[in-house]
Amino acid sequence: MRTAIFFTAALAALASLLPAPALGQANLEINTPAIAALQRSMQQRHSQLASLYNSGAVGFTRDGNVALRDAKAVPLAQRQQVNALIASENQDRAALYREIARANGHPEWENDIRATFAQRWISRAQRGWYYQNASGAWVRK
Amino acid sequence: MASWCAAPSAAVELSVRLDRLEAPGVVAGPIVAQLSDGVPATLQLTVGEVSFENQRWRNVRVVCADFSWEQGRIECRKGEADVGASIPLSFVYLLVDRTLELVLRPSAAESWTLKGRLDERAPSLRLEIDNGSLSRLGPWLPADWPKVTAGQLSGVVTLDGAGRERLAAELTVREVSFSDASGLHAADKLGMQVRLAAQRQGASWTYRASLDWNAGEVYWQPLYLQGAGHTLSADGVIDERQISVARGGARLAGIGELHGSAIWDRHSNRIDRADVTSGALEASQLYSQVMKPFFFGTALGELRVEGKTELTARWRDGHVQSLEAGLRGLSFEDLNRRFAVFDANGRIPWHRSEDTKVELEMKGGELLRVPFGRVKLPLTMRGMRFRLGTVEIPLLDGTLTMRGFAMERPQEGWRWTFRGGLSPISMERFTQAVGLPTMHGTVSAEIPRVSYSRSTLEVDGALLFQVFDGTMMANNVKLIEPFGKAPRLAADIEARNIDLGLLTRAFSFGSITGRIDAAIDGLELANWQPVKFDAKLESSAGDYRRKISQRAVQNITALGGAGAAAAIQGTFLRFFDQFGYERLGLSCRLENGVCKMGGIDDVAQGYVIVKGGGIPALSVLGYNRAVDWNELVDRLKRVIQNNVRMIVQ
Repeated sequence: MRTAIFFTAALAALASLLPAPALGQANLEINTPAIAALQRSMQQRHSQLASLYNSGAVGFTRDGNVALRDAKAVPLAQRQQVNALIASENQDRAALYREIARANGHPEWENDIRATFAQRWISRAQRGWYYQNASGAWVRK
Repeated sequence: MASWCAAPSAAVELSVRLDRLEAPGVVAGPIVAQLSDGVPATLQLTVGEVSFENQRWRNVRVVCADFSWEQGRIECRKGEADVGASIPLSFVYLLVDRTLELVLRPSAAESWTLKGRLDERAPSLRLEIDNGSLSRLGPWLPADWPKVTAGQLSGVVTLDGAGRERLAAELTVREVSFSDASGLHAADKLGMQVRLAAQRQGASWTYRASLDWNAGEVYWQPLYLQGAGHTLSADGVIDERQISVARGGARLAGIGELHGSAIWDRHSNRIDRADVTSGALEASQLYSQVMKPFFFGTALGELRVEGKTELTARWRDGHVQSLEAGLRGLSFEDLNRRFAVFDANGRIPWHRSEDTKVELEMKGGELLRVPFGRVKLPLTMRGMRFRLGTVEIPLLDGTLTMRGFAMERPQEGWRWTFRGGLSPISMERFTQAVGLPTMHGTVSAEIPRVSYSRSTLEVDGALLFQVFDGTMMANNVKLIEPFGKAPRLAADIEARNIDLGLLTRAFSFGSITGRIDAAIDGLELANWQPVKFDAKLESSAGDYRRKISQRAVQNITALGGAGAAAAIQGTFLRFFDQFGYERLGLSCRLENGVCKMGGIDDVAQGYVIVKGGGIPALSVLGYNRAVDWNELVDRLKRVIQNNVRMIVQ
């Protein structure tokens, strides 16, 4: 089942990059309006987050979220907004994992989808960005 | 033990050794003082180790290059202390008066001057600080405190008396920055004025203190505050057991004032008891500066708030025991327009373990874009349990009645339940409110038990609507995360005798006269968009007028796309405005973004959507069995838009 989930999750991730898949393809339902709305919301936020990934202030956690890694990399006055940004991003991510699981007709896959996405975010992260390894320690890619 | 010896050199030398010196709080030793009687005389003082409070210095050296001891006056004019770093100093000590003046000048602009009379009966000390570097205080602060990296301190601290010492301080700090290792507790360029007066009585100190914060910024996760003229004041008693604030006050610029008393237990390191009362607080600032960061990522994380509130809180044994909020014209609105409350007034008294009754009235509000009117909430509370008597909420031109509302918060989060009903409201106003095309008729509903728990709202039984002159029943209604980022609705819907005239008028689609029954099984909406359903609609049984306008026929055909049959063009039928029909029906099974379509009958290569009947009669056939849902919706939008444009022309 792991492989199947990885495949569907991979497709879902690709769905944000590719035009809508042609009719009749099995995983078209992955691109539901809810998922599209969440991806749009995450894409809009991405430019703000990317500079925080670059500075090492924010990194990818092993559970598919983002977290504040080094508050000192952010000017004092902006630390609160960064916290808000992280909270919104994680809210979207939680909803995204849940929606992909439901769109696949398997709400119980949510945790596996989250785990698969956690790996995907890390593997797609740019050099220099930070992520948490299996023991929870921050590692620079 | 002290030992004396004269060194065998030309200049007279005197050496004094003191193995151990103890004074309250201070232990030092061994201390060796060497005096050389040159011109000028020099003094060298070395201390093996000095400890004061929890601080320890090793190999402390004080060298005085210009030293004199004449007529009871001991003076060091050009000295230097080596305590890791080298600090220039000078001092004068008068033996008879027992007065000391010690000046440390760590840098050109910085001086620490200690003046004192070391008289046991009437001792007095005065410390004058001019541009003192605060980072010097680093070693004195507890190790788990944020580290001070910059800042200057100026002012005066005095300590007088024996037995009943009086301590007074008036200090100004400027440009203070501190941070802990994580950066979650940090400040930059702080400017404050601190005043303190205290007097010892036995083992306790009575104090009065105030603090004016007028510059800089602090981030103390999750709060971020700027020094815009906030002030704190307190008086009380400090002893070994506790720090008490008999009268405390805080004036938060832009928010308002708070007063109260508190006792901090020094052994358990917690607030033992506290009572706080506020004046009228500006709710918008209170929310944006204080409360908002605690709500990030929740439905209350992005609000626009206005009005005033007064708060009274009572804290006992480490818990909030009671809390009372007075609301004066309080309004709050979710920036994502999911809910809003306008002009709420009243009192919300809450107690951890006693019944309390809320007196609260709001002028109106909005829920999921549907506005509601004036409501009085007969709410009773006890701890985390809330009960509401029957409430009638004016909703558009009807009334939503809620009965038996109960809410509580066990471990897994909030849950609540109610039942109720909706007296007829105008579909016209409802659809306009929620941003749908205007529909006509009325809607009313019977609401069986609705319950919410674990972020899911469920309806036990059927929701019954009267709409478009027919009935609609929603079964198995489930709404997951209604206030989340992607709410998901599941339901089975059955409709009977819907007046197609009322329905089609809404969409400027062309008119269809008649009635339909519909069944939408397994409906799933995600973010209010359909994801899955199995829908069938078909003419209702019975005797009624069945007419379809030419425009409706064209539009139904256009929905079928390029391949659909347009039987009207080029025939005499185009001269008629409307046609009779015997039956119409359409089915769509939406799955994976594809709508599998069917009609009331199958024909070769297609299906019948409208079966003609009467004169003139016309049948509409569909040929596409599988239609991309998004494309279908786009076509529908185009059809409606085109028609709208036609009307404008």
